[in-house]
This record gives sequence, C-alpha cells and structure tokens, in this order.
Amino acid sequence: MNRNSRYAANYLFTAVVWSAVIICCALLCFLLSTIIWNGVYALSFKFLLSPASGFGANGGIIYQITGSILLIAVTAIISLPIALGVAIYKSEFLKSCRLQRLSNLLIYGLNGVPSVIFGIFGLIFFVNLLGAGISWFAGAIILAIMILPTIVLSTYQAINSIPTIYRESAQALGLDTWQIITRVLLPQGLDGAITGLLIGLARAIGETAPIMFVATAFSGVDIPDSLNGPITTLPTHILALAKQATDAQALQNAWGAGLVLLCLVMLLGFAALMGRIRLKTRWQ
Amino acid sequence: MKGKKLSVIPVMSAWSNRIGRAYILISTLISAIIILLIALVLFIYSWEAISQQRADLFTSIWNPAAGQFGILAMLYGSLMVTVIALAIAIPLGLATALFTSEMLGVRYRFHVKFLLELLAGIPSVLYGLIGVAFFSVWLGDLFDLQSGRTILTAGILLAIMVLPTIITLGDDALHNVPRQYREAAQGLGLYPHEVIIHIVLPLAKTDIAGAVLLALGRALGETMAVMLVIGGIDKIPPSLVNIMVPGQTITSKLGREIEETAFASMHFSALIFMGLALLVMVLALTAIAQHYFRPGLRLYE
Amino acid sequence: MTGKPALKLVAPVVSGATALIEAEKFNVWFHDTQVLKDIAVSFDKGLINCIVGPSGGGKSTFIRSINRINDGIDGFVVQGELSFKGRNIYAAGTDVTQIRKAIGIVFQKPCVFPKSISENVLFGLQPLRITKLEKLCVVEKQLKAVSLWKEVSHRLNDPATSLSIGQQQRLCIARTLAINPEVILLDEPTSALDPVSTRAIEELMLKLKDRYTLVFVTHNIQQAKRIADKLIFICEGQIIEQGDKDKLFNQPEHERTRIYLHDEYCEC
Repeated sequence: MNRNSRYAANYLFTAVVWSAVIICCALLCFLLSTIIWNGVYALSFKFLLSPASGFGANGGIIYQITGSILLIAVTAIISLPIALGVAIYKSEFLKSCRLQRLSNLLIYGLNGVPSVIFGIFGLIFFVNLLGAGISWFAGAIILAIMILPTIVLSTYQAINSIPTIYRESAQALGLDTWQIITRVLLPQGLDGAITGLLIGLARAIGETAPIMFVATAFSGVDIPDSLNGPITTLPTHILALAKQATDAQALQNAWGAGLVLLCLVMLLGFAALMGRIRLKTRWQ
Repeated sequence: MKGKKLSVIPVMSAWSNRIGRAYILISTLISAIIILLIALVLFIYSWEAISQQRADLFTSIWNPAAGQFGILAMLYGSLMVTVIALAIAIPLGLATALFTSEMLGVRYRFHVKFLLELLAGIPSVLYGLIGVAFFSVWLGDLFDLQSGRTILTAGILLAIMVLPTIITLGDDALHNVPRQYREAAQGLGLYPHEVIIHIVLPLAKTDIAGAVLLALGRALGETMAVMLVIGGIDKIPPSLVNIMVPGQTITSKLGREIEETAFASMHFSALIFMGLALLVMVLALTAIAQHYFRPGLRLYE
Repeated sequence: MTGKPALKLVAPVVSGATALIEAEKFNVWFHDTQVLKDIAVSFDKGLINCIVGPSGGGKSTFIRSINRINDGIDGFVVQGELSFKGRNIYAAGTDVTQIRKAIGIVFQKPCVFPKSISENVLFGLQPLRITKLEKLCVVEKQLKAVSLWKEVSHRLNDPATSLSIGQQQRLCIARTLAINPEVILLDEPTSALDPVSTRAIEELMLKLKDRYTLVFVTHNIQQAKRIADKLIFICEGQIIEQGDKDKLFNQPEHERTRIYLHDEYCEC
C-alpha cells in the first residue's frame, strides 16, 4: 500500500488525460480556424451574389447557395410528414416489445447506412429504373430518406415523454384517438419533430455522396424550373474545386464556399440544439 | 421501452380517425420498406458479379479491362483506414470524455457538449478540403513522399472526423454512471484515477462499446473526405503494414468509378457488390450496437 | 480534481482532549444558498454521536462535508474550521484520500459495486497486492464483524447485487471497516431498510462503538433514543442544542428541541 506510488499514479493519469485534452482542443481549433480564416479571406458580396464561371475557379456561388437551400427545403417537406406518422405509430400503436425492437433495428439500421450507399441506390433506382435521369427532386427524396430516422427518433422521444396522465385526461374528456393525437400528442411531438428535422437538415445540407450521382451537375446550372433536371449545391461545388487543389484560385473559392456551408450547417445545428434544450426541460 | 404506458385505445369511429390511421400506417410501411428495398436493389444488381465471378471477387487484382474484379484491395483499404482512425481517435476521444465528464465542472460541461455537437456536424467535404490543402501536403513533406495522399492521411483525417462523436458519446456513457458509485468509492479513500479505472469505466463499458461501434460504422462508411486524400490506387501494398502509400477504400472506389461505368455491366455489378459488402458490414455493426445499447443490459438501475 | 473551495481560517488549530473531529464556525453554501450556519460541534472518541433533525435541515450535508464527499458537487463552498485530530480537513494541500481513509462513510441507500461479495469487501484496499489467503482472511474478518459471514460464506463470489438490501448495507459497512478507519460516518443507514435489518444494523453499531468513533445521522427519534450517546439537534442549518442523550430527552434547554424530540411530526 505505497501511498506515494498511488499518488504518482494519479498524477500520471491526470497528466495523460490533460495531454489528450490539449491535443483534441488543438486539432478541433485548427479545424475551425482554418475554415474560418481561409473562408473569410475569400468572401465578398460579389462572391456570394454572382454565378460561377470558368468551372468554378472564377465567379461566385449564388446558384450553389440557392440550390442547397432549395434542396433541403424540399427534403424537409417530404420527410417531415412521413416521420410524424412513423413516430406516432411507434409510440401509440406499436405495443409488442419485440416489434419495438424490430422497428428500432430498422430505424437505426437506416440511420447507419453509409451515405454513398444512398447515392448508388439512387443511381440505380431513380436514374435508371424509374428513368428520371439526373433529377434534383430525386436527390431531395434520397436526402429525405437519409434524415428520416433522425426526425422519427426525435419526434418519438418527444411524444413518448408526454406523461401518461395527459392521455388519460384527454380520454376521460371523451376525445377519440385522432383527436388525442392531433390535440395532445402532435403539439408536443411537433417540437421534437422540428428539432430532429433541423439536425437532419444540418446533415443533409452538407452531404455530397448521396446526391452526386443523382441530382447534381457541376457547371452551367442555375435554378431548376421543373422537378427534373440537375441542381448544383455547395458541397458538390467544394468537392469539384478540391479536386483541382493545385489551382490557387479554385482552392480559394472552395474555402469561401466552405465557410458559407459551415455557417448554414452551424445555423441549423444551433437552432436544433436550442430546441433540444427546450424539450429536455419541458416536463420538469 | 416504457414498461407500462396507457396507449390510445383504437376506437375508430369518425372518418378522420380512419384517414389518420391510414396515413400513419402508410408512412410506417414506407419507412420500413426503404431499407429492405435498398438492400434488395443492391443485391439484385450485384447478382451478376456474384454468380459469374464468385470467388474471383475476393482476389487482389482489380482490372475491369481484363475482366478481373478482385475487391480485396478496397476491402483492405477500408479496414486499414478505419483501424488507423480508431487507433488515434479512441484513446484521444475517451481521455477527453473522461475530462469533460469527471473533471470538468458541470457548468462548463454543458457548453463543451454544445460545441462538440456542433463540431460533429461539420460536413465531411470540408474535412476533405482541409485534407487536400494541409494534411496531405504536410505528410508528404514530413516523410518525403512522392504524394501525401496516402492511407495514413485518410486515417488521420477520419480520426479527426469521428473525434467529436466519440467524445460526446463517451461523455454520455460516463455520465450515465450514477454519482453514488463514485461517492461510495471516494468514501473508501480511492484516488480519482482509481475511481475512474475501477468503477466508472467498468460500469460505462457497454455504452462506450456502443459509442465505439457507432464511430466505427461512421468511419467505414465515410466517402468524401477519404476519396479526396487517399490517392486512389487499387493495390494492396507489398508490405501490409506500409501505410504511407496511396490506397483505395470501398467508398472512394464507388465515389470515383460508378458514374463512369455502363449501367448493369459486369464492372457496374462488381462495384455494386462492394457497396453491398459495405452495407452488410455497417448493418451488422449497427445491430451489435443496438444489442449493446439495449436498456435491460445495463449493469445498474 | 475540482476547484479548491474558498476557505477562510477563522479559529486557530484546536487540539481537544478526546475530540477526534471538531467544527468551529463551520459554514456551507451551495451556490448562493447557505445550508449550514456557524456549526460548532465536537465528536468524541468511542461514542455514538447522533445527529437528529427534520429532513432538509442540513444533517446529510454536514456529515458528507466531514470526509469531503461534497467536493464533487457543483457550487459547494465551505468556510470556517472543520478539523480531524487537530488538522483542518479543508486546509490547502490536504490529501483528501487520506482523510477519506481515516473517516469512512456509509450512505443512506446501500451502494454495492456490481462485483462479487468478496471484491466489494476488498475494494477499498487499493492497490491490492496481497495473497489469496490474506484476502480471504480480510473478507472473513470483516464479514464476521458485520455478522454477515454465516449468511454469505458459501457464496463469496456471487454478485453483491444478489444480496437483500439489508445485507447490502451491512456489506457496505464491512467494506468501510476493511480500510480500517478511525471514524465511521453513517448517513441515515437504516432509512431504506426493513425493521429486521434495521435492528441488525443498530446492534452492529453498538458493537462497533468501542473500536470506532461513530457519527450517525437519523431522523428516527426512537432510533436515536435506543443507541445514541451524544445527541446533536440540527434544524434549518443550525445546531439548536447538543449534549448527552438523556439530558436532551429529559431536560432540553430549548423549547424547539423538546417539541421535536417528543413530537416527531411537528415542524421545527
């Protein structure tokens, strides 16, 4: 029972933990500061508001910004209603424990599918089997599928956290199933759904792999005028520019687009986290 | 699952009830079918490669022109990159999680978690951009390589990518250990490191394993960042542990090649087979993680 | 590992004749709320020192402050003098671990580690570099000390969580005895237990009081009457009255003490 050796071991342990913390902080700070520093250098109003030219090396990113926002807006419209339905089913109608586990497995499974798999699925299913060609709407559907589990789980947790007494009270007042769902459960579940949706969209707006075979084209694209036809987004633009990393001008534009993308992601993420904090403190 | 919860008694009378129920059922069916549909589509389109190439798929030479479709090089690349990433990220991430959960004051912990979750959301293409602009250049200079785009570069980049995830999930896992265990151990005169090693870590280990599996799945499935920095050579290096050479992962191969192949050709089919293999691996990991996360398996209640 | 609490030395180090633990003008805050005010008390050697008072009065906070378990709680601030064997427990540079080894604690709810019974007994003896036989000796000795040996000797390697709650609490005491403390703090050790287990624990305390100084918190006045030697009545963070048990029960100086001790249901 050597007291000094235990004291030393504790000291060593603390030192190891601290050094890991310092390395982590340094890495993550480097990450953020690089994106911000290089991005700020490339940003200007002209850059934000003019279309790209010369394969992205010149000009700005206006159509990339509108493209990204259009894509996630449609993604949200497609995924939200489906996710609400699934969450209500899971929380109110699915009683057997085994089926709950199965549904969890399916949801977490879908959540774990690598993004490139969604991409090749979209390529086979939408582009070739359904013959849609390159279609931004198909891209929105793929992204909606991808973020579905996030919204379902978030909504489910919100609905499930409603104390049973509220359902009982509503029943005691003679409300039927659908009335209870729309008047008691949905108002609460909707908050969870919006939170989940924001988290999902923060992920969707940064994704490249699921849509790069299905929905995007690199140059010569503006705002689509029908459901068909390609779109251009910030991440695909960055990808294309990053491939020409030796060209300084292209790289600088990539950083500019990167910072804009980061800001959009952070905005969505920030809103989602604030929503989640509000949810967590609701029933206390 | 919640043990006893009164659910809405399905007394369906009004038409709105029926429509509502149909809507709920249909959306559930859609989402349940999707994942099966994805697996089915991948299986059908890789069938040509499976039925004709058979064991030849598991060789190390990929040469579509000569009809050789061995996926071992890509499999090796995926596994190697993931192993490197986790070997770096797990020790760093868990040590940092210990810090945020055990040493940092409760007030700061909240802010740190907030920041970490934001960091975890940084799009992978941005990591790729940093990878090509900095890491590959640095590694190339540091080790005097022909090209800095190597398996090691991809591994390091992936490690940084999964770091916020590991920290925040690890922190959750450690934080789930009830405080009374720590107090009881402290009350017996244990040093902080002994409390962590003998009590906190063993109690949190199933959750930590779940977090690691989740990170593993993310690392295996990551495409854009890896594709940009790995170099893109479909070869297993002569020495298996030589990680300073360009390589290829399943994801980067798919990202690069699938658009350039004719639909439903043997080449296409072999690529889809790789995708199927990846999907199976990731789904297996998810299933195992689900098993670990199951609430009943907790040691404490 | 948490920040050092703000500390102000008020009184010089006092060395009492038999008092092991002494508090003088001891104050505790959680954030901005003061939960203990000017506590002045001494716990004497070889006695059962019993702290009584209504719930939420600061009894547990005080007893947990003695071996610095509260250090890990956010917003915990102390001020004043709390000394063990004449040395301030909260002095800068104090090795908290040594304090906790000398002053063991048993909590309200038994908290056995999810390990085997014998591992639980040996848990405080880190790092464990003794032979199997020695381990068995320690386990047997401590389990006998808490009268648990007969019940569990045939299944020492079973998980400790398989024991009944009363047995678990006795195991917690055995675990504390194994580190050979001088003082044992017991924070309402029987409030989660059934009457039979409560009785076993009470008998155990009476048995232990020769060798250890016991500081014992309860809100059960009958229990205090049965086993206490010295009684301290804490209410709303202050010590109202302290002294010999019989004196407090028979001739309390304060009206509040009398009301509380004779009518448990009253507010203080």
